[in-house]
Parts: sequence; C-alpha cells; structure tokens
Amino acid sequence: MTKQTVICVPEVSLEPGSIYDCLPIVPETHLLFAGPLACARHGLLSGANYHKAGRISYLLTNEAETASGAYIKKLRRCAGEILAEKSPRALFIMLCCSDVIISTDTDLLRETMEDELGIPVRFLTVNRLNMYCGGDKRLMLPTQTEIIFSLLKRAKAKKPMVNLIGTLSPKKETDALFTALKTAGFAVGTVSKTKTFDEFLSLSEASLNLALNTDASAACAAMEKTLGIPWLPFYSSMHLGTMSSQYEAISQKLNTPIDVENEKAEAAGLMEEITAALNAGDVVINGGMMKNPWSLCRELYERGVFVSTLYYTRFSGKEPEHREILSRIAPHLNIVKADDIVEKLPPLPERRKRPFALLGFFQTLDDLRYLKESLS
Amino acid sequence: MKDYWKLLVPFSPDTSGFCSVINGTDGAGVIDDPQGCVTNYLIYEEDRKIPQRVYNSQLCNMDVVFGSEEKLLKRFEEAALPTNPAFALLGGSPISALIGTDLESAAATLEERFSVPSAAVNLTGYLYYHEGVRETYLSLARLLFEREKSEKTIIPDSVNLLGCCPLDIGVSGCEAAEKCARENGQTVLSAWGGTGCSLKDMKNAGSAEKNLVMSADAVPLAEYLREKYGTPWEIWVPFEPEALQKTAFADLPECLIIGEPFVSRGISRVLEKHGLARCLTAGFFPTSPGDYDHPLKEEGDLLSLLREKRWDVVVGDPSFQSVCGKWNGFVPLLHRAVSGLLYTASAPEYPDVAFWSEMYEKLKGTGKQ
Repeated sequence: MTKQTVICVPEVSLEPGSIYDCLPIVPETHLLFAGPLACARHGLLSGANYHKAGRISYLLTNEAETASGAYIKKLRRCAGEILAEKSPRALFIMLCCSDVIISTDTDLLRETMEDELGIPVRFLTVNRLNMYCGGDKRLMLPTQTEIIFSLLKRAKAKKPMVNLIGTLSPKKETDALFTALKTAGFAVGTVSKTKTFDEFLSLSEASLNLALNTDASAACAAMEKTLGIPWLPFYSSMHLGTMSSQYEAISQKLNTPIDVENEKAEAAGLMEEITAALNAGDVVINGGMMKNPWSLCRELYERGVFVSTLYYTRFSGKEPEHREILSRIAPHLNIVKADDIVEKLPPLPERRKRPFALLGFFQTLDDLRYLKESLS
Repeated sequence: MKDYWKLLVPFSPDTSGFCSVINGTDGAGVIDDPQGCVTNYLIYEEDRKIPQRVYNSQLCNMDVVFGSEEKLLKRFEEAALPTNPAFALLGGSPISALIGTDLESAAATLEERFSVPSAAVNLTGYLYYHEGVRETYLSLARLLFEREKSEKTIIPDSVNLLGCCPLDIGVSGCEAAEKCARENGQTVLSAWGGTGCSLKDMKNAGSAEKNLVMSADAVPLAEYLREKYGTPWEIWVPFEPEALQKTAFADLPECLIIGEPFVSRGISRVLEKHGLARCLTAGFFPTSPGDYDHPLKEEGDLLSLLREKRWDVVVGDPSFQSVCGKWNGFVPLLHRAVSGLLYTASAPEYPDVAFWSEMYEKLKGTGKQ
C-alpha cells in the first residue's frame, strides 16, 4: 500500500490579529460594534487589547429596534456621544448578519453620519451567513484593508515611499526588500507604524503600493484609481519561481536591485530536502488553515512529487493563479472543499504564533523550515 | 447612554446559557445560527475537557429566504447524531428570531425522524445568559417529565443539585457542592448544569428527597419539580469560610458584592453573620425581583452604584476593576458570564479558602476593627 503523508503548514497567527484588531490599527480612530448581545460577545477576547485602550465600544440593539428601524437613530446618537467624548478622527462601525437580512443602507447612513459628525465614517458588515452557502462568498465586503485605505485622499505630490498594504502588525525589517529600498532612498510605509492620523493620511504620498495578499490587491486597485498610486503584488508564496518574479518586478519598477540570492539558494535547498522526504509515496495537503496550499502544491508537483489530494476551506489562502495552473498541469489532483467535512479531516497542527509578520522570502523560508521539521 | 458599553465587554447571552447547560450532558443542542453563538461559547466560555455537545446549524443566506428547518435537521444528523445523543434541544439565535424559525415544529420533526426525544428552547441572543439557562432547564424538565406520572419512590437522603452550570458558579462551584453533599451523607441523584449529568440521572430527579438550588436561574426548575413531584427545595450555597476569624468588627465596613444572586447573597450572609461587614448585593442577572438588593441592567448602573457611596470592599468579577479603577479594596470573584475564561488562571470562581482569606484581610485593612 502506498505510503500516504499528510502535510500542512499552518498559517502564522499574528498577535494581535483578530477581526477587532484590524480597523483600530489606524491611529486616533474608534471602532463601534452595533448589534445583538450574542454577536457583541465575540469581542471578549478578540477585541480585548483595543477595548482596554478605549478604542472599541459596543452598542447593543434589541429585536424591536431591529424590526422597526429604531436602531438607526440609536446608532447616530451613540456616534455623537463617541465624538463628544473621544474626538476620533474617523469612526468605524461594525455591523453583523442581522443588518444584512434587513439590508441596512450603509452607504446612505455613512453619508448622513459624515454630515452630522464632520469626520469620516466607515461601515464594516461581517456577514457570517456567507460562511456556509457554498462557493467562496466573502464574510466582509468591502474588506477591512479596502475600508482602511478608503480614508486616504489624493496627495498633491508623491514622495519616494513604498507602502506595504495588507498586514496589521509591525514588521521586523528582515526582508532584503527593506535593505534595497533604504539603499535606494525609499521609505517604507505601513499603517501599523503610523503614530497619528495625519501620518496615516500621508501614506497617500507613496509612489508605489505593494499588495501583500489578494485581499490587499483590491484595496491597491482602488487606490490606483482614486489616488493614482501604481501597485505590484508581493504575496507570500511557496512557489519559488513566483517569489523570484515578484522581486524582479519590484526591482525593475523602482530601478533598484534587490539581492535575494542567498535566500533563493536556501529555499531551493530546503525544497530539495522536502521533495526527497516526500517522494516515497502519496502526499495529501491539508490546506484548511494554510495561507499557501496551492503554491505549495504547484511547487511539489513541478518537482515530481505525487500530490493526490488537496483539501481547502474558506479560510485557506486563495492563490487563484496557482489554482488555475494546477487545473492544467495536474488534472489528476483531487481538490476537496472541506468546509462541511472539516471535522473529519486529520487534525491540524497548532498554529504558529508571532507578534510580527515576515515578508517575502523570509516568510517562505520560515514555512519551508517548518515543513521540513514536520517531516523529520 | 442606554445599551452603550465602553468599559466592559457585553456579558454572555442566553445562547451561551443554553450551551453551558447542554454541553455537560449526554444530549445534544443545536442553535439555529450561522456560526458565532456556539463558537463564542466554545472558545471564550468553555474549558472543560469534555466531548462537544453543542452545534450550530450553519445557516446561510438561502436558509434565511427558504426557512432553516431542514438545515437544522441536516446539521443534527451530520454532527450530533453520530454521538448518540440521549435527547436534543433546539435553540434560537438573533437570526432565527428575525426570520421566525419555528423551532417547535423542527423539534417535533426531529423526534419523529430520528427517534430522539426533542424540544425547543426559546432563545434570541438578545438576553443575558441566565435567561437561557432558565429556559433550557425548563424545556429539559418538560421534555423529561411532562408525560411521566407524578408518583415516585423517594430515595432517602438523596438530593438533586439544581443550577450547577459553569457560567453561574464555575466548574469549581459544582465540584465543591457535590463534595459537600457527599460529606453530608447525601446521594446526589443529578447535578443539573454540571459535568456528566446524563439523561438517566435527570430522569431520576423526581425520586430525590430534596432539591438543593445553587443558582437563581434554577429556581423555576425547582418550582416545576415541586409542583410535579412535591419535592421541597432550598437555596444551598456551601461555603467553607474557615479562614474567617470569629472576632466581629466594631465599625462595620461597607461591602458591595456583585455576582450571581445566590452566591452574592451567600457571601453577604456569611459576612454579616460573623459581624464583619454591612453588605449590599448587586448584579445583572436576577431571576426574580428580590434576588439582589440593587439589581443592575448595564454598565452605567454599575458606575452609578460605585459612585453612590464610599465602599470599603467590592467583590466582583476581575473585569469590574476597569469600572472601579485600580484600588486595594477589590476582591476578585470570577463570573464566567462576565469575563469568560480571561481570568480563570488568576481568580477563584467560587468562594474558597483563598477567597475568604483575602476577603478578611481586605475587610480588616479598612481599619474599622
């Protein structure tokens, strides 16, 4: 019987990194959750840090208010109270499934509230009804990244700065990209490093945006239209060729060499060892909590490893380009959407925790080292 | 402003109360919601290493349009049925409340289709946890006993412990109660809300000589059993305040106790009996009007009460310190329905020896001896 090996490289859990941590990362802003008690309770752990800092609060609505629409007045009154007490530069309002059902007109509400309050107001609707409806409908539309960057206004002039779009936590500047950019005289802009709202607004002066994931690419596309900032993808990937191409594209765009030869060589060496360990049998990728199941599958397949099955859930990384290529080059691959059967899959390893995000080849190397260790 | 929470995170909802009661049994509970109600409970409020007994129906957009009954049944069949549940309870959520899911009908269909005794529990996700606990106990009691005869053989020296749900008195509270009952020579027939309470145990409840009620949300259950079987009941909060010195204070400190009604009242009685404090009980979870001296509805009420007079000692969940401010006179007593599992490693959830020692030291420290 062919030996079957189940592999998984769980996505790193960034701390902070919950649904409540994303929006208040913009300095001098406030997040208000408005909805039923059962839904508000989700903030107990998820929102603990920002709640302690007074940056998150909750407005509970009841059935009668939801059914009659009276919650709208209540929401507007509450927003006024927040403005008077905390003077935020922008207000984020998180709504949930009940607002989807009753079709709260958040566009109209936003306009009305911005007129009343005199500050930007942005709504985030979390729709868990999309979780189990088949397909890959999003839980949040627009995404948090799109919401954050919709606050920026077109700058009069650009400066030599490259924004990293799509990550929350402060980064250790370990990637060769940082060195290259600094050498070439570019500053690196991230939301998490801004200390004031005005500093955050100055991110609109960047000359290039780098999208760190596919969600961020939508925000980048929007910023290209509204702010005139071009963008390039800089997604983490376990396909080494893709990683190299991304660096080359950035290098060309900025006319600055980026030296990642050491990292490329190390990644290639690790991949060879992993391939040797897996070549003896059939490989199953449990992509349930993986950011890069598709690129890993493609890399292994291109190295001659037999991958029979790839499980993915709505929480798996999308990687559409790698998925599309796999559909052509690996027709035998059994692709299973596992949301309904996730309880029956092999147990996932514990998620790695880290207080900062790694970028580029540093993330890839971290993932490869993890995978190699898990196979030994 | 009413319903506006800025210092505290909103408390456990009724759906969590439902989960807390069912998860320790050999039955199954399915909440008609997309995902959040059950997940919040399992992640933030449940730390017992026991098999999962509560599920959500994984509602989606189409179910909102076409109705969720079949989804509920399908989810029960896939997730719960393989665990051989002894019974099934179906609970509502904010979504099912909005769309008007007929849970009674779903429960009747479930019972017919899968031959598992089933009932519905009236939950909405808008009320506090104790409403869910109360309704779950009552639905369970009606399911078990409605069609039973009222005559039962009474087992001498036997008791039921009613109201052992971890959200009320913590896991340690139920353990303390069971230990105390055994030490008193009593046989515990069933511990409603506690861990390992099976359908078989609960069905035997009518044979108890007496019901010991540990939390206020179990009083309606006690009344139901009294009406059905004539079983008398009493409030029972077994504390072990050996750490308290017997010397009463000349000038009584003012002590505010915020928590579950019976636990708060129990602490208050012990302190007053020993002449150690003048107490006022307050809380957010009353089941009947007299449960607290000062019932509270929300955060603003707690703030007003704290500012009303100069309290020497305040007993309450550790998260209330964000309202009280940093202050030596605070004695933490964890209430899971308030702070979930945030402080389980650092604060007691039922008055134990360490709690009473700290209590005495803080009262003594007010300088009113």
